[in-house]
Amino acid sequence: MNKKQFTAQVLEAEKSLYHIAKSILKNDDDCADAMQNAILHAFEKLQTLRNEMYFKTWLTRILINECNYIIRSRKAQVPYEDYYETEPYYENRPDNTGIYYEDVKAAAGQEDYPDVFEVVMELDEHYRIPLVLFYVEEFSIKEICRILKLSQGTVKTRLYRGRRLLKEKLEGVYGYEKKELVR
Amino acid sequence: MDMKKKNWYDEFPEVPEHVHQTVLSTLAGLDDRKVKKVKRMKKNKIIILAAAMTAVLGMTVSASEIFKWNKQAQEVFEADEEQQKELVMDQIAQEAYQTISDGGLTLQAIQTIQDNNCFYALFEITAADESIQITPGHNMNFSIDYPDGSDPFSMLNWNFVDEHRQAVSNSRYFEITGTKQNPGEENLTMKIQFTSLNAPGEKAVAGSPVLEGNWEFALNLHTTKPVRYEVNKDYQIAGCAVTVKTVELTPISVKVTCEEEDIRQLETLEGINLDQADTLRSLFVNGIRYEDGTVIEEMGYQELTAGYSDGDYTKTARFSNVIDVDKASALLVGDAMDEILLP
Repeated sequence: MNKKQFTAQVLEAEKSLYHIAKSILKNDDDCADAMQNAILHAFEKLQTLRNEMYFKTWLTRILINECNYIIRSRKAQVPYEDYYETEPYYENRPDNTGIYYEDVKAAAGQEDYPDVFEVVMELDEHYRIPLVLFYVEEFSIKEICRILKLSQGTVKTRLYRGRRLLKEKLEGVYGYEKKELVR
Repeated sequence: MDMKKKNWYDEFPEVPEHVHQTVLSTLAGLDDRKVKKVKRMKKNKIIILAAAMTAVLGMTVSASEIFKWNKQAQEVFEADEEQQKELVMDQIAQEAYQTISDGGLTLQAIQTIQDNNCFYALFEITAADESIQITPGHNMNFSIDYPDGSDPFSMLNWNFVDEHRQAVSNSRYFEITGTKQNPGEENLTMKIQFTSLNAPGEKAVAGSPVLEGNWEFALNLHTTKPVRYEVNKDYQIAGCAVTVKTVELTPISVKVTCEEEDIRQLETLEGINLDQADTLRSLFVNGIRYEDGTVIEEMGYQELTAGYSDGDYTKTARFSNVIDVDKASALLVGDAMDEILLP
């Protein structure tokens, strides 16, 4: 794959990459950083991609690594107590990012997003990321296993539980009809 | 609302413009030096205001030649005044001090900071016409000529600094950063020939030239002898015994070499595959412990290179803060900050 093909494939995947980064990091500036790092890292390691068919899966995995790295380095830089004091949209909670999504939006002055997106973003990341990969980006279970390095059983369980949680939230808060969530 | 008919993809937001611009500028900045065409301008169009060549190869620095670092470089390397002086004395930081004007644009090479593993060069680019506003999305077209034909970089990036570092005006700082691979012992003078200031591009294609000209700079490429520790000892890293063979330190970067077999075990433990662009987080150098117990924590790990070779695993990384090598007593690696003592 040459630079031109690489560029074309990255641009084709751009929206998916953003959705995935957004589902992990929530903050758009962090998403931009993660996407930039992932692109640079992928280009540098392009020769290690054995089959171009798996480019998007491979790039997604690199992106998730970068997102996790941003979360980890952010935690290393500022203790949670300080986050709470200095950045009003961060707060300690069992979520890996420690971010309340509503506060991110308020801080960024963002407009309201569609209901389903809002509710997905409120889910714990264990459910949120597999749901986004499966329902939004339409990766197969096998691809999600490869991207998240989880077993098929774990991915399926998380999808099942995530789907139930999502359904409950949509029905409870947004008044959706009681119908099965399927792709 | 019937979720069966819901198009999940459409429920998710579009890529915001500033994220899209980041992607485009990243793609546009990917290293394509080998395919870049350089359009030469006539020599008589060049007006050289001042061109004092950078430090002569091999020359030593006297106290009177210590220069004040540019603020942008200070921020990138987080160096205090004492450290700035030390790095100048060690010739890791050098003043470039070359200014060339042509075609309505003045380029000033300000300073370089480099060692065996990494390279940083800072330029200031100013348009004579104040109505030309240079934004972070603009770019410079340039080519690099290495006298002996060997490209010492495995990766090279360049960009105008972000808006949070400098407000938009007709003048903007421009940075080139490089990762060195197998740097030789010899000092080199590399020629950087700029040919145009380009407007922000569309879809990862460089924008059209705003101003064209010929600005040619000569910058020193040199190595710095690192402090090398022959460690050859097993350390518990993320619960796994890892033989650390050597550690090399300079004030701005670190190189750690370990036994390949042990790192393969860490790969399994972390569930990663280093052959597929994963990164080994348990060996991230997240801090340096000084002899007096002070810990200098890294503000964001910046890996330069990593990989297996000849039965070893070697990784290099740039420090976020300049460190005092003489005081270093241990590397702190991974989330658990496991210790690698420096003998």
